[in-house]
Amino acid sequence: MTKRKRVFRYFFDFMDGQEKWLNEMAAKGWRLVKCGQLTYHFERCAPGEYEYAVDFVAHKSFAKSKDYKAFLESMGYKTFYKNINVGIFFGSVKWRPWGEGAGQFATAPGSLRKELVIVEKKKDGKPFELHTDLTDSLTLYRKIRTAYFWYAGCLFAFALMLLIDTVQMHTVYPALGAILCGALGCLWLIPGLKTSRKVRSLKEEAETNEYDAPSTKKNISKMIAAIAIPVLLASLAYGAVKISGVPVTMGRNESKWFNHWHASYGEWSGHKQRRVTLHEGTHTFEIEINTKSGELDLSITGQDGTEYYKGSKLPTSTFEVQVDLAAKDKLTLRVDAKGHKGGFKIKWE
Amino acid sequence: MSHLRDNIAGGALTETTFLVLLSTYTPNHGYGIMQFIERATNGRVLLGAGTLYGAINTLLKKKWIAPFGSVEPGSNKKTYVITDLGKQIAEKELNRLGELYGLASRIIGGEPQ
Repeated sequence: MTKRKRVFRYFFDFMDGQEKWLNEMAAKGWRLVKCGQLTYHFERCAPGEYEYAVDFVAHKSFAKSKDYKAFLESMGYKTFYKNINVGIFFGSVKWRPWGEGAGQFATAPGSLRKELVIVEKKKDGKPFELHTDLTDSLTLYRKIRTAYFWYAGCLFAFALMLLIDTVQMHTVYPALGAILCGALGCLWLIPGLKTSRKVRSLKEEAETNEYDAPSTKKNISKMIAAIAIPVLLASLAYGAVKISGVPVTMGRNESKWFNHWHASYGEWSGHKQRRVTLHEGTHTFEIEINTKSGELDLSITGQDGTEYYKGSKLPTSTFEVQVDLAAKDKLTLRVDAKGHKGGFKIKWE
Repeated sequence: MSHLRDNIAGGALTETTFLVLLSTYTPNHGYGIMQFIERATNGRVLLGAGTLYGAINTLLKKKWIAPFGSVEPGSNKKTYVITDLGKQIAEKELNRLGELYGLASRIIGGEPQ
């Protein structure tokens, strides 16, 4: 029987979902010994010997979270830092709208990718809860709720940007990305809504039970802001880039598909080409040029050097080019730009 | 300062706050506080470590408790003790609870009012 094992896993439902899973593993006789960003290392133990709780520390500054972790250790628990954010870059900084004081900014190295603390206790029959006081739980769950919504909001913002891309470029790739981001966003939204329900029931309890009210007024607006701000910022930044015509690299807005080649850019100099294999027969190339300024040349050449089309300094226009092929040929489409602002679309069958 | 006065005048401490204050009449560390509270309430109140950490820090900030002595070498257990201000608060709470107890006994216990 194996003594150790490594499991790949990531929990969007990072509080309840993760805690439940760790406890299931412990019940089966697997004790956590180490966790990576996407991995958990386990060691054999007696089934049900340990139990786990996941605590949220992403609102604390790194100094405070370390102090808290040391306190938990002094209480006789074993603790592990665990990430919500996944990444490899040192020197990153992230803003956390739910943070307290210095905890609003997470850095790597530092508190970034140490958003959670997994706490292990030797099972002793008594309930294992880290937050037992109404005031304390309510304050914490509100922060967790905001965090879930913020992560969901960020992904919805990505999805929105990709949707704009889809509409502008008439291609499916960004749409697939948008669906993926939207789906991932929902994976955070669902536990967010569950936490929201928990907050509501604790609030009802706070009406009649002892409760040391911290300021609560801003909470609803904070919750909405968590979703709205990333969406708004992203669309503003995106819109600004699109409208201002800041030179954007060719790749950013280029779309290649088996039957079309689109590109739009602020300003571009250089050349690009792609090869298209077509069978014998007559083929129609639908070409759309958008020239705001600068020069754009386009040529379509056969494998043996036959020039099927050549246009220089093309103005804004839409036209068709017919190509008759006696046999299967590999055509080269080449675009040359000199300080060209605008874009082009080439479509064929 | 007005915050403190509110608390002195305002009354009702949360159960967690009051129990932590009581547990530091003799210097005590985190784990000891948790044990004390569990024993003193016959297991009715099982304080979560996260909640206890929050309570200790709030009480330190309000100066109702203070760090006691130095940390034992080779151990990371910090010890805390109630301050004079803390004792004042606790006495006030005792009086308030006494009053409430008297009232409740008269009504629930059916004593003539």
